[in-house]
Amino acid sequence: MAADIWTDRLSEYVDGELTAGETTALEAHLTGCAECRQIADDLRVVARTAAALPADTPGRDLWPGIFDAIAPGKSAIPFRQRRPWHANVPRLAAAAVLIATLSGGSVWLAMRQRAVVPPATLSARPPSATPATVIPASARAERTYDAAVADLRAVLDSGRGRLDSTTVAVLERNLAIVDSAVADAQRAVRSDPNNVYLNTYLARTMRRKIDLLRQAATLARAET
Amino acid sequence: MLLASLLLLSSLAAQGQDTTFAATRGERLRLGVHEGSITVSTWDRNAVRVQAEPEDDDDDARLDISRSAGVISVSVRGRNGPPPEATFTLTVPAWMPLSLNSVEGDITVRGSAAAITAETVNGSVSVTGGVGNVSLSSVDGSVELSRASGNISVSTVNDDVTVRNSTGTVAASTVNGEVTLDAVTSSAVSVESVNGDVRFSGPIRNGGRYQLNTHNGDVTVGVQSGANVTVLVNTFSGDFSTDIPVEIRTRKRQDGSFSFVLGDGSARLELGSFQGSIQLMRPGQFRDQP
Repeated sequence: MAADIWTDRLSEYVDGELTAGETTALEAHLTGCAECRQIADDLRVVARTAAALPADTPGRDLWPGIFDAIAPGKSAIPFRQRRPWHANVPRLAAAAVLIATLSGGSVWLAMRQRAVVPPATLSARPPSATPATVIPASARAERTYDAAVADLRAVLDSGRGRLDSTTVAVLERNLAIVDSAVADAQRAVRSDPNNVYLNTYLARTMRRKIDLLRQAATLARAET
Repeated sequence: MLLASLLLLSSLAAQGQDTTFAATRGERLRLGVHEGSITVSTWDRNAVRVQAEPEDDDDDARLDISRSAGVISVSVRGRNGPPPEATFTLTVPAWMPLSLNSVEGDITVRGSAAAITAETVNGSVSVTGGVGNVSLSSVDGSVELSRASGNISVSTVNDDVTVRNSTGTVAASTVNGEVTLDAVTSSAVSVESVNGDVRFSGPIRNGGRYQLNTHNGDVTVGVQSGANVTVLVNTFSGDFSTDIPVEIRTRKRQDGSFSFVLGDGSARLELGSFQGSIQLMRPGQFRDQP
């Protein structure tokens, strides 16, 4: 659990955005967590690569509109309508890679901590020491996710007969809800691949599905 | 080697069983039932009362109470075949930690001042009280907790989760339902839904961390006057609004996301809704919300 907390904040750590206290706590965690050290190293490599890229200037600054809207008094900002601005694309692209790296690490960590099938049957593996290119990190995360889903699905399917039919229906309905959320996030990322939030959100939603599948598989194995 | 001592093994046939036995401070109680509800209340006696009612006049149903290594175990079993359905009503010392499990049935606890684990699959969980580790879960049923303190974990899959008037770290989640945290005092809150609204009201404490996320629903947060918090807002196709004055000292903007600071910003409030509204309001306004 502690690893999850710090994994989500490694990007801020590498960017020097944590407070002194948080930095101290995270560095203490890093001394005992090889996985997080590995991810932090990956992030530094990507950050150095990103820093060498030329910076673009946003087409226009939306902040004045946001500022006006959240000033005292009720108001609303429909983000989707006001989002067609193009931010600092190269840096965002780099950030997206950070998230892809994190997502791979997060899923891997989740699988390591919560695996319900023997590790030998999982194709999940830790992030490599230094990503050779941008694409493999993202592809690795997707492969890890697909493998984890397939493995947990297999466990669930093998134990499906032991579950009450109502429970099966509830689980399947909720898996479909999470699938729909994952599909929404994937579509959003495809439409805006450099969006940091969307990439982070996609990884989180994928992890939510892993968690639910794990819970379902555990139930399938436990019920008699 | 500790040997289990059998306190009771008797038939549940006909009118069921009602038995009371002494308990020693430090003992915990574990109750598992496959099908049937569990209701626990507390008293100031160092004793446990177990009332068990079979669903049908089942001659094969047996109530089994044993004690081993500081754990009092209560269960019902059939002589042959599947575990019989039974309704349990327990009265226990408030100090006694509880571990309650059901597959098909509701779990209700009132007045506990100890750690509680309550898990069911098809049924609701409703707990008042709890101190220390309080872990409540269901799959197809609501989970409600009030007046608890400690390390709180509440979850379901296909219903709502509610925590009220509680203190401590709180992790609350569901897939298809709403999550409401009302009058919760905490420095560490993690709330997640996929298809439902998420609501939080409680003091934002200096240095605290609060994460509230949903996919298809609204996020509503009550923020008290004078709060010191950095607010991070993330949404894809939703919107953001605030009913409170926002004093912006710094800003950090990302595509589709932004943040601002209230006071010295020592707490961190992360709000995310993929396609719903995110709203800040005063706690009083929060309570007025439906």
